Amino acid sequence: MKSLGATPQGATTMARPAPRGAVWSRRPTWEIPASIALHGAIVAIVLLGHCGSRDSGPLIDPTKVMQVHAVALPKSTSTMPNRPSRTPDAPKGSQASDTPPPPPTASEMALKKHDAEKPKGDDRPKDRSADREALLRQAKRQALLKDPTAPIGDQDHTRTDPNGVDIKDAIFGLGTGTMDPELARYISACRAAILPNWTPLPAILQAHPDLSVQLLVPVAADGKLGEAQLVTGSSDSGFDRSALLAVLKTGRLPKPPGRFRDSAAAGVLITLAARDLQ
Amino acid sequence: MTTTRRHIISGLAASTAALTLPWPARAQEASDAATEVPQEQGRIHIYVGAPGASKLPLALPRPIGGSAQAGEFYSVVHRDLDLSGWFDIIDEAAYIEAGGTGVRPGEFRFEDWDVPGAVALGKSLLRDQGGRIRAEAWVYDVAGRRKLGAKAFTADATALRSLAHKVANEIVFRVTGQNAPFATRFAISGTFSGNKEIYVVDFDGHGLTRITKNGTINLQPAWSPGGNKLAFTSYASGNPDCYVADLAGGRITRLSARNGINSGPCWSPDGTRLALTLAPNGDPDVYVLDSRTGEVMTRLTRSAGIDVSPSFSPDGRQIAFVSDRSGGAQVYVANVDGSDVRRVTFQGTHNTDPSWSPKGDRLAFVSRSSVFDVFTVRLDGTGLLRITQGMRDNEDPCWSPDGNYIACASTRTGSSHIWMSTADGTHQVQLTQGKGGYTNPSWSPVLGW
Repeated sequence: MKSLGATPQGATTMARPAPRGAVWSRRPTWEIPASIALHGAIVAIVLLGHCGSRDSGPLIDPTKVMQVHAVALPKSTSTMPNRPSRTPDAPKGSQASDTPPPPPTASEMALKKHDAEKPKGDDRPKDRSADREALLRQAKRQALLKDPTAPIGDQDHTRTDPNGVDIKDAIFGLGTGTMDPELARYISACRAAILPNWTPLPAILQAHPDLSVQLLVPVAADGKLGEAQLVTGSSDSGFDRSALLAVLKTGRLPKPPGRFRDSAAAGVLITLAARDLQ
Repeated sequence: MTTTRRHIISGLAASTAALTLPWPARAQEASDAATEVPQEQGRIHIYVGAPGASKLPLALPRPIGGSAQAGEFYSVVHRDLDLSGWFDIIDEAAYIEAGGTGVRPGEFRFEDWDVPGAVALGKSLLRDQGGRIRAEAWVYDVAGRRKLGAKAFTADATALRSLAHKVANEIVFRVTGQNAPFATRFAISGTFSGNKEIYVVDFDGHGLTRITKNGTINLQPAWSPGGNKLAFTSYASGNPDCYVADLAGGRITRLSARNGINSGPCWSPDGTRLALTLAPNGDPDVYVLDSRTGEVMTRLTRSAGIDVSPSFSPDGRQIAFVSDRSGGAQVYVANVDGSDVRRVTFQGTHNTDPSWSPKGDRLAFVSRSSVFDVFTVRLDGTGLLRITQGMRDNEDPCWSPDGNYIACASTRTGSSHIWMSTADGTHQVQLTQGKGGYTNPSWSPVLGW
């Protein structure tokens, strides 16, 4: 599009203004009413649209706002480049000037971006959220493992954890397989609750160190223990009874984690052994 | 009262268990007909192993038999069992069995002891028999509804306390399978007369008996393996010489009176040798002497530094001692002929008074920082275990004959008393009473009195 005052060669020039009479050299015909009508319509549309949006609620829906969590990223271990010891010399051929160069125009920036060398392969911007989520999961997991006394809540922390073990794949018990960290903490807490209440006679333990008894005990969602059932008895009736009394004295275990409630309600296997096999 | 209430509550719980869980017939049936639950995936499995950290609830009813000394007998047995650290003795107020009920199987109901929550039951009978006393100990497993053992003892009426110690020993042995140190004594250096004299006192702090009366300084007593002699260091003649007291005959003989010190005697396990520190040339070294003649058999150390405080290993083949050859005082171990010297302690700058565990696996010693504290360590220098902390000065550790306890002289209550703890440092109890002045304890072997 040629601007007003454009030269016949098409080059834009601001030095020589166009002759005054050239602009209004033609008489207005239908363009003026049409322009007024068009502008009026645009104004009406904008006003009507603004009035209609008042009933549609707040401009920002809080439920749709993306939450951003600050995650402490590990410190970079790479070394910083050496700082220059003095101001670098100006490139040869350039002219020294006291005034800073003018900022690049938008067109220049677009031109540079356009001309910049494209990275090989995927040219989409790298999505850092996945890395951040992985770091967050790792931090949570480490915190869980480091703090065995942390309260066990109802929330399932490991369902989405790639390092967690799904309930259907878990092998619980004597250290076989990978123990779900939340389940491991739960079992540890249960063991700590039962052990002080178990007082078999040391003389029996010393004489028969291989004694062990297995009980099946339903555990309610609130941790309350149901009636213990002797699954596998030892050869010593006193030892078996001490195990049953231990469960009875314990009375209540920590609440089972959400994912394990059904399993706990169906019955938890409790093995009480004279010696520590773990 | 709180303890009583707690036991009543736990007892009620236990009795409830007895009602809801028909026992033992049902349990035995279930045990016989037990079917293995498959280890299906999704089943939570809780493993509880290695019990024993908790104290055992023990019911200890008063002795029957009508002896006039039953009260004193009962208090000795009660205190012994309390000191042992094994038991949580249930308060008598929680008992529902009538006093005077029989001690033999069938003469009482186990269910009566479920109520106070007893796991073990120690019944006793004490009867006067014309100047002598007969004591019977009957020990039961309440949960197992069975007798664990029974034993009878007879002694002069004057030996009531030793009789009570034996009954307490029997209860501990039947319930725990371990020997208790109740029938032992301590030899100590006491300041009760104004001087430092050698005394002997029962395990529980009673029966203080004076051995030396020379009005000088008498130190570091050591029991012979047979329990009939004491070796010690005395300044009776002005020089720190080594003496041996025959406890049965009452004679004290000087075994070693060489120039310089003759101190810190320690008996070999077979009683034929004594290790002690001599300094004939001014340089203290450890020597092994014939325990009858006092002649030098071997010289253990030859370093230029100070070598003192020998302690024989239980097999008699090695000796632990203290040396400053590395700068500060540290504990070393060497073969009894002086070969293969190895340093045991590496932490701290002043580690002294080694005492070899009767089990042979650890050494107790004293480490000085701002105060003196007792530690134990394995022979290879690993497994350092602190026994005392924040309890003022704790010195001169010695082991019980079975190696389950460590005693030391402690000023934690102000004056010096004998304190005892389990070998892992738990259950610290004061054994001696009174105004104090007990130092250098040496634990006797189990005595047959």
